[in-house]
Amino acid sequence: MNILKKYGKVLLTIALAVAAWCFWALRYPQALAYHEQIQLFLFDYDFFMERLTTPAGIARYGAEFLVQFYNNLKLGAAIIAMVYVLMQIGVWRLGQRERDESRSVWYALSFVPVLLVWFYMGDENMKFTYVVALLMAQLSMIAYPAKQSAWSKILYAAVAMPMLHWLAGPVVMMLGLYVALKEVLDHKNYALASGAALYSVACIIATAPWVPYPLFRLFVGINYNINLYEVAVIHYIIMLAFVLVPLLIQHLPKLEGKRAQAAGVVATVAVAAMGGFAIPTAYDTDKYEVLHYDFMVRRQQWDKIVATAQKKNPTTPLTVASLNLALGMTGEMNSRAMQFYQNGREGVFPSFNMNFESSLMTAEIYYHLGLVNTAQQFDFEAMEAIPDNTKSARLLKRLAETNLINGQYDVAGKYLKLLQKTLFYKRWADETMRLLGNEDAINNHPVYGQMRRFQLEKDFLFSEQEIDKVMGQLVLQNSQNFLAMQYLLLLPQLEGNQQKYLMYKDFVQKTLNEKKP
Amino acid sequence: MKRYTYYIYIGCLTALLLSSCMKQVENPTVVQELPDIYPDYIDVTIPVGIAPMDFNMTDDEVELIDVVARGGKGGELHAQGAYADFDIDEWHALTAQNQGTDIRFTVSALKKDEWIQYQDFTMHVSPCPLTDFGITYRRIAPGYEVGGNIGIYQRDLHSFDEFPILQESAVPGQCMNCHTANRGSSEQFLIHLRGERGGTVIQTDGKQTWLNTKTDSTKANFGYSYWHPSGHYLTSSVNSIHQSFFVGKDKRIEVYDTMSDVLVMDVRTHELLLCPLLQTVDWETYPVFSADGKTLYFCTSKPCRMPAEYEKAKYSLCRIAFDAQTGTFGTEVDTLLSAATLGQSFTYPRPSYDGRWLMYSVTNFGNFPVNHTEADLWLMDLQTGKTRSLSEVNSPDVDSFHNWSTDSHWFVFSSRRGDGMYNQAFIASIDDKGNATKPFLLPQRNPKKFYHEMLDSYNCPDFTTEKVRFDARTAGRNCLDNQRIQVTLK
Repeated sequence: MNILKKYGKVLLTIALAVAAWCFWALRYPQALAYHEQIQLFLFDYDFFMERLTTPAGIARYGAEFLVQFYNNLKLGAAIIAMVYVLMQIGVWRLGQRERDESRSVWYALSFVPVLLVWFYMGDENMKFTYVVALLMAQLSMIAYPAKQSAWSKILYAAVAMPMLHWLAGPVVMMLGLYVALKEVLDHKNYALASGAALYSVACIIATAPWVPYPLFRLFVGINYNINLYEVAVIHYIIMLAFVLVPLLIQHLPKLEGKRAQAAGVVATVAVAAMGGFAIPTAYDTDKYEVLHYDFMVRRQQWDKIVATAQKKNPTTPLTVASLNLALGMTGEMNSRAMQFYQNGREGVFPSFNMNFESSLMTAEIYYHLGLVNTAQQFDFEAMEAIPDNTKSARLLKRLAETNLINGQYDVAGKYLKLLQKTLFYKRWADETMRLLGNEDAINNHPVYGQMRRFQLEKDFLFSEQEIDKVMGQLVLQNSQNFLAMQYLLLLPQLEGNQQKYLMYKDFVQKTLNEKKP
Repeated sequence: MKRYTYYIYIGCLTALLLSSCMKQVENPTVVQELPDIYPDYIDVTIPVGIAPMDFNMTDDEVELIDVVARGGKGGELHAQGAYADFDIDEWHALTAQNQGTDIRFTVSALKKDEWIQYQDFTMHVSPCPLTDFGITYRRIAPGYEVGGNIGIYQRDLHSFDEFPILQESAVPGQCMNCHTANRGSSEQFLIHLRGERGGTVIQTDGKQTWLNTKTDSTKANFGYSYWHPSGHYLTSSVNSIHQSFFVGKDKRIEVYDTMSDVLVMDVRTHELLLCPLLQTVDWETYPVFSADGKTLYFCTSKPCRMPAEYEKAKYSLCRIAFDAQTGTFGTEVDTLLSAATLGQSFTYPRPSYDGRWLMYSVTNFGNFPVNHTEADLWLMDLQTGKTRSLSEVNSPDVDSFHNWSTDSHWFVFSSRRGDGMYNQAFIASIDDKGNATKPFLLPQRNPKKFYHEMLDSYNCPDFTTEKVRFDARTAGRNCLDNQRIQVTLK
């Protein structure tokens, strides 16, 4: 019992870190991969300065810096766990007026804001910028000279609030509210309280003429969510929680003896139960299933995709398309595709609907088929479909590859030079840079060489309505393009058109016979 | 007096310290070749007061570049650094002092601790000034359906300053077409917005008017537009625009119409003036008014089955008379360049504002030259009717989207000659005989880094006489309000 009393707080914080790490590294690594692929962080002075030009730019820069490490999923999970711990400790630190052990019974309450953040992160569009901004706001609240003279406090607020707004965005309202409540509760200084609250809002309004965003965007946060115009209530609830919970801890009664023990246990169990039950509900199964399949496609884990599908049949066009691609890559499409749920042509070549995920998936399918130009088109669309207009390192890499295969070395070099300024793509970019203009090296490359051999020499306009013909042309172009053959044979199967299937099968057989060495 | 002496002493010391920061070009190896610089500014013609023509060595291994620029009529500039970066005021003074003559550049590069001095090259300072403030353009990444972070910008040609006119962030989710000004006017222009809350915004003397340009009697919203010089009319095509993509590696995309017409709108009444000769079964597009406003040029193609017959869509360049007093059209259409006879497609006509020239695009087929690598700029002498390719300007890649400066001595166009993917803005001058000079790439500070990292294309560049003032916040509100004035038929 003594050990628990002595190390209870540390153990609870460690438990938070372990739970967070396991959650992100083992249960939802696809979420990390998703966030890593919709950003491009460059080690470049201009990149840094460009981030500084909008409110919350430093929070964004810091978040992007951290998110690039999601390339290593275990490290990414560790970063999130570390940030959670810092936030929780920050809440606790703010909640202590002085080192007062009698308030330790309420330690569990310091986890509430962090659990809310964890809950909100179930929205895959929530950006880590928001989390970093919250952390910065917490720091500004901790640094508030609450016990010093009124002039010190005024000076601090006058300088810190505009700075915080520019560096971290509308979380400045947290500082305004914190100062207001602190002054009312502790000093009954209503003038300073109301002044601080209004000033924090004024800081936001004052920047409006200088930035090209509607005013409401400045109150929502420009870079807090990928969907620029999404206003989630929880967004503000969390900001409130980071202000109110520390003040609540400060003003809850001091407890001692058995009452303290009981209250501590109840608070801990209640908070843990809240987190344990509520957080999983925030993670939409279908959305994360799509991200999981995309994650496996990106890593070319074809067998794993099939194994995953065997456990739970995918049903959405994107997941079914991933499965079909995996079956094709393992050479099992025509023997096994119909054993799984199919949703027609949408599950083979998902139609373009202006969003990132579908464009990306469709691009992957066309790329593996050798339709490099079509893949490039969808990669461009995917890049521009990222709602907050950032670029994607993953897509830039793929665009460099498609241009390399097409022999467009100037453009490929342009993308590679940008990737050379990243941490995790640099080595690949350096190696690939050596291929530029080296026709022999590209032709003999196991992937790019094959893509060149698969590419259609006879040029024509691509048509989704005539996808059978395109597959047929790919087979005619190169009889080693087994993926195209499988897709060609799958299409009539999905239509239930036996006659067409036999015709295509005959065509494939003839082509194979004619092209035999 | 003692105090002034003190200041002079401090000033001299500072200058000495600064100059000592520069490395001396010692014992250079003199080579008999021109420096390989980016952008290629060798022998280009520039206007007085243009932004400094900063340049880099193309060789990434060059550690330091030392450049001395000497004017034929005097003046000298010295720059040393990772790239040649000239002070704006000193550069302006040098170009002003040398108007009508040359500036000679001596370039030395430090590579592997050895200085190499190249043959001098020159830039010519045109006797014709460029009186416009700058250029406007749309910056767009090569997404084909998704607009992304699209925006209309303006660039001060006398400095490196770029200012947004309208960005997607102000009109969320809307794609926008290029800013179309009346002869480069900053006071009268329009912008078409596409999307759920689309519309056409016309700004005249600071006032925004939002229009719905689709009517039951016309085929679509306004497409490619152009102002009548009086400012009382604008002409526009209404197009059904589509795009398809090639499967091979040499061509990417073909943008085409499946129908199109040309019409004129009275800007004062928002009434459409229709002419049966511009509303035929053929596909009329790219209408523009002549400098005197008495002629309407447009392009037209015989209809064909698209996209199957995309190579058959070839546009002739035609004209019809227009009477601005009565708002009526002539009764005959003249064909200036016949696609059927010449076997090529003639699009995007742009008459010079002095009425002397007509610049247009020539491609093998189609009406969207920006996606055709063979697209070249051609020039027609409107006095003689003679035409020729602007071979001194054209490149093996796309050259298109041209527009004239308001004094008609300069033109700007976009070209993919840089890397084959991203359009860049080039400027060239033209003399009284129609001879164009070697175009120069829009100057940027540290241009190699700028252009190599730029992931946007410069679309539809045009000159602007003054800085455009457009209230993007009001535009955003109006866009969301969705209140539009409906254009009607006269």
